[in-house]
Amino acid sequence: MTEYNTATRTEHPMPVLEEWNRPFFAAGVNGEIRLQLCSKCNRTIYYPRAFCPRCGSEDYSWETQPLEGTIDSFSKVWKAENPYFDPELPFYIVLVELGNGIKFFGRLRVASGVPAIGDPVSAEFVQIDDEVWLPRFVRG
Amino acid sequence: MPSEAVIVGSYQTPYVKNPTETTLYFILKSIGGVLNKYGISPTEVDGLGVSSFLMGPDNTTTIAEQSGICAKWTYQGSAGGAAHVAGVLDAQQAIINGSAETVVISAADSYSVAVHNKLMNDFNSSMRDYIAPHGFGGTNGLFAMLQRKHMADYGTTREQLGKLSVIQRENAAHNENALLRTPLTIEDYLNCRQIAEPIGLYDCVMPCGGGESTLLMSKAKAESLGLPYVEILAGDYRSNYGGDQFLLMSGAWAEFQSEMFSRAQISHSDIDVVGLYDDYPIMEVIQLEGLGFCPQGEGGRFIEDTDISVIGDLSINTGGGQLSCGQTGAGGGAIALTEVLMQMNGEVEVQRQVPGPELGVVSGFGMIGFGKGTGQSAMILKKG
Repeated sequence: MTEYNTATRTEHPMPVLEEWNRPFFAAGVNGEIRLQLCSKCNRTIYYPRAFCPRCGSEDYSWETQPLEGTIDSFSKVWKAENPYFDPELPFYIVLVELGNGIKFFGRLRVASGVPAIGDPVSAEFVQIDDEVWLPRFVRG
Repeated sequence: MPSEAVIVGSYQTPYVKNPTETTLYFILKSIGGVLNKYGISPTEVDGLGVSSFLMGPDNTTTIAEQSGICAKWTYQGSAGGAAHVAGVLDAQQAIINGSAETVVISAADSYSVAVHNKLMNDFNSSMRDYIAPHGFGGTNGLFAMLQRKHMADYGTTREQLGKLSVIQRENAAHNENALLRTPLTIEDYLNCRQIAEPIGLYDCVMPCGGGESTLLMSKAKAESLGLPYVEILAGDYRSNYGGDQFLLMSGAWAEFQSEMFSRAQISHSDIDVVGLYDDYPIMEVIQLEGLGFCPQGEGGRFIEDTDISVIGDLSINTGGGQLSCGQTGAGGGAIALTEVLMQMNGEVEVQRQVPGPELGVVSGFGMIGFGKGTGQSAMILKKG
């Protein structure tokens, strides 16, 4: 699922792309979450880093991650910090424990029911510009 | 030649809601304020530290120029609300080592809700790149997730958290510099509008303009000048404790508090007065747990069972804290220390004076990065 709105593109808060995070932001084009896997110590790295935060190695590969997880915590937000998001209020933010144990931050789309800690969620992707897709989670 | 170092005291500027004054104004007013309060001239000062989110294009060195200070030792705070306490600890070491003898540590910002929100979108690279693009409700959203998890994992209740907001507001009624002084009931707290569930209006601080500066010097100089002083028995801090934890339920205090109390040679039950970094009541609970006043997860029950008023067993944020006084950006990391120093130096309004406080703990926290606060600091103080 993709959404691309050129009219609002310049107002959307954007990440700064670096050598070590471009593949992370681009992975959504294929409906994937990709994270760095350290070639030396096998750590899965999140958020994307310039070098492994455990062993310091600059060698890594980009590996696909599970697209399902459970809610670790969440909040229903009534006041946005950036007026760009005012039309979306109230919205949910979530910390999801993915199947590999990584705790991933994003927005939660509640398709049905009321969210609770422990609920299963799955990832979908929102396109922001040519190079940036953001994973978002869906409950219900 | 090692020199004992002491804190003479702090000066706090008036706090201003929606300030037109600049950050430079609040930094310089706080430095000038502390120098004049204790009769020290800039030419006598040989160490300077500043913590501020918005001080650019200035830095500690250019503030030294503005102040007329030639500094042999400098500190540029980077740990947000943990930086002022960490800077005071570093200043103590500088004086002990002989790098400087008379040091001013300042923390200030010209802050408001609008300024805070703008800062949150570009606060640092991890928040900018991996949180802000999603839309997140600012720090309210992040601490809401932390509070929800603490409530779920440990049974912490909103009533327990609200007791902090309510008692601190009672304290603020006797603090002329507090911006919020009208009484708050627990019903007000529980029924107020939600900002980011479960964080409500009275869990949130009011950003404002202001600053405070702390003066340290060698004990010998303080005594020769007949100045009051407070001793730092021990302290510690960490930057980026907790690895990749997004919700930091247990901060660095848990790692260093035991050694800190043991170096100070006192126990938790000896402490009379506490200054906690209160950006949110849930963080006060997490600090109490981390500092060892109660076990991990028991902070809510500890608040419920303890008289935390100015006449109670453990007086917490006796001036109202940030929750009732306002948050002056990075200056929020200094208000707790200022209040404890004023308590020990007998400078507060009599209705909020803790009877004979001898020993205190001050805690700093801040610099939110990828979810968690990356700065934690604390110190144990003894009335001189």
